[in-house]
Amino acid sequence: MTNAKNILEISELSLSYGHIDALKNISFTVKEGEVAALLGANGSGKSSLLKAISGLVKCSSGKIRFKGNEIQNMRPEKIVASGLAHCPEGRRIFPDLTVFENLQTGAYLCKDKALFKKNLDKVFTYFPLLADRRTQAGGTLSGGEQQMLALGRSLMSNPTMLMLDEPSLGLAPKMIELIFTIIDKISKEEKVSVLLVEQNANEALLHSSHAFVLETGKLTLSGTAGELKNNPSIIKAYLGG
Amino acid sequence: MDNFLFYLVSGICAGALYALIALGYSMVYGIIKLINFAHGEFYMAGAYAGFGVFTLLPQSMPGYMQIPIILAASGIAGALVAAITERVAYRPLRNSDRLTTLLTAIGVSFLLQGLATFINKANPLQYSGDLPGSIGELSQRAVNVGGAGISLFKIIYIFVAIILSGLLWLLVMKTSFGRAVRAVSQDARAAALMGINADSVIQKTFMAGGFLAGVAGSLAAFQSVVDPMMGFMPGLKAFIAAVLGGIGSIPGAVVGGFAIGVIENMALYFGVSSGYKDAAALVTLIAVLLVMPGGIFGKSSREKV
Repeated sequence: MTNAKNILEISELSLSYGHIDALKNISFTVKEGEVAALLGANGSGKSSLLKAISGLVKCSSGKIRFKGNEIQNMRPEKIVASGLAHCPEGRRIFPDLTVFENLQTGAYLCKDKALFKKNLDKVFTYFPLLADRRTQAGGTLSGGEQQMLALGRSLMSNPTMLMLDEPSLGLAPKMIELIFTIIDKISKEEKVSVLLVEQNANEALLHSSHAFVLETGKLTLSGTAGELKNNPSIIKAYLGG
Repeated sequence: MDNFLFYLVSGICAGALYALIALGYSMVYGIIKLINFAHGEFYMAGAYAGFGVFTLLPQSMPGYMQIPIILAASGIAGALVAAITERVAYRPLRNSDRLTTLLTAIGVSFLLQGLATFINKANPLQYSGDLPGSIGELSQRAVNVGGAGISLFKIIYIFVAIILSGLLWLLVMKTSFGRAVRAVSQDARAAALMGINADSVIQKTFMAGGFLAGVAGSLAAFQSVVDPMMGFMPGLKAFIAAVLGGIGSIPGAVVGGFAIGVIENMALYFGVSSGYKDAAALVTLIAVLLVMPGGIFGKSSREKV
């Protein structure tokens, strides 16, 4: 694992909304096959960073390399097509589409029927409940079920890397556990690299190998999950120690 | 009784045209929340293109063969004008507020009317001709519907409207493109994350609406004339129809279109003078919106916290 290649490399990335700097000079890398966690308080720039990577917002300077290719400021649909999926904060499923249609939409760029079927089976194995509810409108699902659907929908694009924005937000503890179990499986069984944005630092450090801490748009700490778990300032700020 | 039937069938026929136009209004509103006031001009553009193609066709060609060619040309012209309008006028304003785009739509409407006047000198054009089987002659034929004479072309409206709206429904509900349209209309950013190019989907939605409006333009022109202002009133009525049915809804646009057509003609039957028949449609709209603010098929918005 130590000499695994970098799948995502961010170098000196900055982003501003008008006069407000949301990200200042961020640099970090995610290795192939690992789960990396991005921690930070509300408004620290975590979601902005994911949006910049997936092309939803334009960055002002810096480079983003995915599998060695520069992707900064490419159109979001091109970035998904290259294998980098972004499961957005607040789930953002399509409320009036059925569960199955939501999953089909996730596979919008997948023209290979066999691959579609394979991915669908995979999603239904992870979340059997989605198979039972395939004809139900997405908006009628509970919050936890919507999170399953959002995760499943992202997997339908057959990504090599998955960015998850607050997958545990607002969920019951049991559901959080389930979601993290699936994230573990996606990374171990599917060899999908994961960049996980979380406020729930405890869970995030438990399920990741590396972690980064963002504070008001700056990267202030990084290291292995084990190191950060024992870092006094992390314990104080995020782990409630 | 014959009279009643005549007005009822006339209303359904008029409604078929409103439905075809209303579908485009509704789809465009559904996807980018824009009330495209230039939509009636797509109808006008279709009618002009259809007439242009008609003048190129051999006069010896029977009308029943000319009609499909003219309708196809009108639809394509409507779609092209819609695509250009979207690209030039609306796409650059995608992130501006709704008042800006609304005013732009009104401006585009005037611009297209002006352009048509400039090119065609505002002379109304008519499908004339008494040659048996020609469009001009067919347009004077009537069909006996339960004792009431209804013009042959008006019956054709109904079939065209039903077939095209059915095809549109299949396109939106059963195809990958249709899912993309619905995904973009519900959450454009999430759709982008799925790999959907929202700009392209929006443009194609405009084109689908423009196609239907263009076809409706020529259908109307067979019975009437082609002139630069012809899109204004039907466009307005179709807008009312779309709101009545629940703007953004495909079945709503169809039902709303037929409803407006029937209501107008029923008003005539019950003795409202023809100058006031437009008011009948508006009064109905107001009455329906008082009870169902979202229109007949409109959804009350729901939110999940």
